[in-house]
Amino acid sequence: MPSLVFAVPIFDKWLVYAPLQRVAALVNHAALAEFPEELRAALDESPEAEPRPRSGPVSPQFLGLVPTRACNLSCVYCGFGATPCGEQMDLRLAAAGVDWMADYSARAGRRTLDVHFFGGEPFSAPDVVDVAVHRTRAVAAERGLLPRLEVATNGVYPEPRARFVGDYFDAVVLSFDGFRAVHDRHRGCFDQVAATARVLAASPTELCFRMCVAEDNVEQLAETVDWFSEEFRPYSIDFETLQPTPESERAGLRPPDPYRFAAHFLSARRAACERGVEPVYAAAVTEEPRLTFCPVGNDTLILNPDGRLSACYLLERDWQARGLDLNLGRLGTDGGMELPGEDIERVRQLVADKPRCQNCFCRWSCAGGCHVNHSYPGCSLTYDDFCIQTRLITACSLLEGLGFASLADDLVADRAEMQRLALRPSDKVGAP
Amino acid sequence: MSEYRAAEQIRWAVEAAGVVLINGATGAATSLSYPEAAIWDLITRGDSSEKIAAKLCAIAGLEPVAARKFVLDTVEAWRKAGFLRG
Repeated sequence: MPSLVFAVPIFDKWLVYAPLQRVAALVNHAALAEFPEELRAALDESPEAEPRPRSGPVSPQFLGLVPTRACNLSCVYCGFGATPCGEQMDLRLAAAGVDWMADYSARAGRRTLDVHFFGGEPFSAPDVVDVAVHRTRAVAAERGLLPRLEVATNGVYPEPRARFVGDYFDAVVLSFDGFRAVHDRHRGCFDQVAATARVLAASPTELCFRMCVAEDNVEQLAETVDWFSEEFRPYSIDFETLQPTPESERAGLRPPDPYRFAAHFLSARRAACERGVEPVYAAAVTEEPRLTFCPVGNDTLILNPDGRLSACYLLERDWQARGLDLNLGRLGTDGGMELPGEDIERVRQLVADKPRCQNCFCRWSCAGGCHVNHSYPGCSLTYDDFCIQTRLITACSLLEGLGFASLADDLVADRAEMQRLALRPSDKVGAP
Repeated sequence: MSEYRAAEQIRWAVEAAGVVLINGATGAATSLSYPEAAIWDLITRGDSSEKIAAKLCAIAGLEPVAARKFVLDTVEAWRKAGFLRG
């Protein structure tokens, strides 16, 4: 029997999943003991190699720019501790970062020059964004590359800035948590965010809403998707459950129950698909086996306002609290780049070691989630809420892919059955 | 330098390598590549010439004096061509 076959219980049947063969099947108990010939043949086909940490020269997919950690909002769940004022990246440093990425992209034979902006709120440092955007487009034109600009933003700025974003960015991830009452409770400035969303919806940019799901809006996911789709026609909606922080706890905001989240996500996903909007739960993407679902371990370089290059856009203090060092090097305003090979290797190897994931059927799709908040060294080996909801959503996705959508519906309507699946310590078939 | 705005008949579209200006009255199109395309964006969003020049130093790798001259010369040329009013 192939060694990397997983199975999870779905009522009286079993969902068999072999991620390296890209095979999924729903079988009865007898067939689990002895696979039917057709399934056996599929599982006997040469599997893909297990995903391994990257090797060789550093090869970032994009340059991440953090123009500032400052932010013009004070979202109740934000743990960034951002204030309206804060260090802004030197304009020369932003240009140097873009130049390095352009050199790399041209040398590597890439067709695009990819620069993504994170914060804080990137537009709290508008001059840095202006310079970086135009420098990217200028050097891309010089080198025959296609500029590809993305930004994660709160959307709270005047209309001319929103028009600039819509005209110059290829993709915009706009934080938008739902209806007025929810959005204002979580983040504030609903009217301005909605106004920006309308401007972006009318622009050529690919508009993605990032929706923070908490206990107070989990019941409204499908309804919110209907409204978002009708009002703003986004390209995609990304559902992220609340990451608890001392700030969110003080505000009385709690993460959703993972079982309820899985059930409501399923309804919301259907509503989105019916309206031509792509629903995203990033941890349940099963297309290609992977060791990481985020920039960490993918050689991504995040350039911070102080010139530090890191693998992650979260705050340095947050990694350090987990005993992690995700710094990769440093870039100077003169373009001098320090990128020690041992630091690249350290971060590459980090993503390979996730003891909690070893026996989970999602180990190469979820890939352990966030390395700082979820799968950090020394984290609990027990499945937590993130694991539970991800295991349920992934199983439902596989069932839907097999044409058993109604079985997925039955599953998320039965909490005991969900628990049987979600809390199973090992999914490996034939494991002792 | 006083503030400038796009002339009423001028429309523009952002493309990968720059900006295309279209005269709505005549249908004539003018392509702006970089760094002029950056100046067009910044001036139509209301930046002063000093601010544009400061950004242009980083966008185009120019020294401050050269950046300032470049901005002024470009704006003057656009004013004469009827792309800007002000």
